[in-house]
Amino acid sequence: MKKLLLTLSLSLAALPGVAADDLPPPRTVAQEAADDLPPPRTTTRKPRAAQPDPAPVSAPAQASTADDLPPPVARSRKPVARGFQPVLKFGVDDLLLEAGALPDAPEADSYSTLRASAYVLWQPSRNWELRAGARLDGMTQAGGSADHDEMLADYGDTYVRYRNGDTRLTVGAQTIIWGRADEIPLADRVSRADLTRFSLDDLSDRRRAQLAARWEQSFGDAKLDAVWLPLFHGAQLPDVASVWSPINRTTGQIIGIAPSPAVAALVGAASIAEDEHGSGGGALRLTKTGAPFDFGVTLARTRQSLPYYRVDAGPSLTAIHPYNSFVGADLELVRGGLTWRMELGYTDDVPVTLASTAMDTTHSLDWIGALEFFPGGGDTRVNLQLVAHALQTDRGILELKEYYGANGEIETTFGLGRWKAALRFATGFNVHDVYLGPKLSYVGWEPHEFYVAAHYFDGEARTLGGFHQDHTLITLGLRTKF
Amino acid sequence: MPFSPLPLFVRFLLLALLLALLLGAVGARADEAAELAQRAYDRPNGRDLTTLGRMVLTEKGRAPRIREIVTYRLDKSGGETANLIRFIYPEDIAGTGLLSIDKADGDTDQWLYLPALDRVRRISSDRKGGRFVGSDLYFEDLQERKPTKDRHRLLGRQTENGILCEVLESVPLDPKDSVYSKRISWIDPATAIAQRVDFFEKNPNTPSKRWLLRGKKRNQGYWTLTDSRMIDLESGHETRMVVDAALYDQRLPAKLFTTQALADESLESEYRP
Repeated sequence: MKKLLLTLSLSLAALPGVAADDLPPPRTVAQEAADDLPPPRTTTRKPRAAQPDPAPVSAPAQASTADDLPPPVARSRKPVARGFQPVLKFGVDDLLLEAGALPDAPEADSYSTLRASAYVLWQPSRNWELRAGARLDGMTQAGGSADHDEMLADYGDTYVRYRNGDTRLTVGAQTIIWGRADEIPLADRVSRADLTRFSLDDLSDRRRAQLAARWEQSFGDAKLDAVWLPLFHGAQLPDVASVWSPINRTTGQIIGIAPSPAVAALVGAASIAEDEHGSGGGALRLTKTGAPFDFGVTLARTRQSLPYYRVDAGPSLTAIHPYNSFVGADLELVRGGLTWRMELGYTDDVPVTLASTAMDTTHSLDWIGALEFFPGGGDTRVNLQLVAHALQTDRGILELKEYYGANGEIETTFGLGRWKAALRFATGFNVHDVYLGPKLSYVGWEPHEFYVAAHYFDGEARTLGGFHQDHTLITLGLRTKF
Repeated sequence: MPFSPLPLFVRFLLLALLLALLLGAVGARADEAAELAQRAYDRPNGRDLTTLGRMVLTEKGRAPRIREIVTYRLDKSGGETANLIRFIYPEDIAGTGLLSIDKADGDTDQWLYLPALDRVRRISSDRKGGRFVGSDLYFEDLQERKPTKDRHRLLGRQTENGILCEVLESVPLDPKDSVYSKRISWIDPATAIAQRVDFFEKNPNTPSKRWLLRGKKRNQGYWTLTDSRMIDLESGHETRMVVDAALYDQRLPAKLFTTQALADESLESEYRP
């Protein structure tokens, strides 16, 4: 019986709730390093009412032996939050210095960029906010048949904003990017594109401020966003000599249009004009967040900042921005540890080019399905997007009638977060169209980012990768803000 | 006197009695362990809390990296807890916000605000093992883990930080539910405050990370853990978490924990300490 009890007690020791002899060894004191905490920044706000208790107890952990759970201490004055304080902030919110090599381009051997933007923000009261921003964009392209450099000054977000309760009104130049997908959100109907560096940058850097009046109204978890563009401003285009121009005079091609001797002759001889007069239209977006998913509905009657090049007499290529109507829906949800995003859109009056180079219009249907996840719950993020674009016409046109493809980004950090590696990619399914953008960054010297990156393009006629297939770029850069 | 064995039924009766006593003791100890875990979880922390703090990432031979953070927490009705984290330094992540709604059923809804895009993105809260802004904290470390998700047992008593602590082992009931295979906590029985936590990942015998409490302060009757460190025991890299100011029970409005407030820093900034 004694043996039986011994056996029993041994087996019971393995059951939960019983203290076995596996108490960890006491910790060495080596980890009790000296107090090497850097002092707070001077801008770190201290509590305005720093007298929380009559006698606040402050103790190193060692001195806490006899403390009971807190019965709240009687106090004469309750500490309060700092409340509203006027804000005046200014700084450089973006500085990019990049040197690049174009190993295959006939136009140039190198392409370098300087981009800087600065801002002042003043919030004198709870209700009012004023912001002024300016930016400078410079580029130089050298070593080939199309040496070129330019410097462009422009405004950044410059607006007056009024807040009251659930209402926010903003008037002035502002950057508004609607939608859920990362690369080309369908609901992005009121932003102004920046094509000076084609698609080398992330979406937020491919958009510029434009004049708009915006009314945002929240209703609990829902929000109505109304935007009117009183003065249309087309996309910021690179100079026609730039390798990133949508018109390539060296090869005689227009982006998205099937190349032909006739088009080449036209591109070689035509003057290029821009038609931006009038207003940009207006759009409404209703979004709701919460269970079981976030969703949005967008209605827009706007002019798109991306140009359509119409062939006019002369000959000339005129960048026009016709009105079109857009109806879109989007949703976002988390299931099985994955974030699913989807956008669906219908657009009318999409300009297309007939074989005769005359302009026609049609409808288009677009869909994006996106999946974002962190494999193994770790430091790597994968964002995969499937895209479908279909023009609803039976007529023979020079653009691709249908495009199915994938794009996205894989990024990871290593070296305790001091290094980042990323790969942006895009590929076509029904046509040969490839973009690969690997990037390795050192971000250990905050807030600066030093990086080496490459942009590889390949593809058939009428695709973006095909249009830029000679413009593979290798870059070395610094990006920062302060 | 000749030895006379006990009748068989008496022996079985005694055995059953001993077994019952032992199992009762086991149950009592298990209850005690679970109770301690629950006490640590239920430690009074106010109806709402706002903190202004810093994370200092240190690595031997390198300059420390600092993140300044404002956090807001609100215990809502029905067992729901809302958390909002806003980065205010350094510049490259300033303005970034994270909103988490921990629901009573254990699910968490999470949104991330990216100032560059001015966009709120829903993200999965299942990302447990990723490093939070390059620190030694995993995303899981930011969540308050419910004691019911673990099996607890008391390992004994040991002195930590000069306090005789109860040593509590917590093992996830569902191994997929945590990046850690086990946690051992040294808990001050008087205050139910952990003084040290060892985190185990792949190796069940050697902790991979260690959290140490360095200082605490009583504010408005509540204990605030003002200074603690998370140490990566393999690399020696550590993250120090300092709370410079804390405010309890300032009646934070529920509106602060919406995606609208997440996307507009000025809506919450006046509630900062």
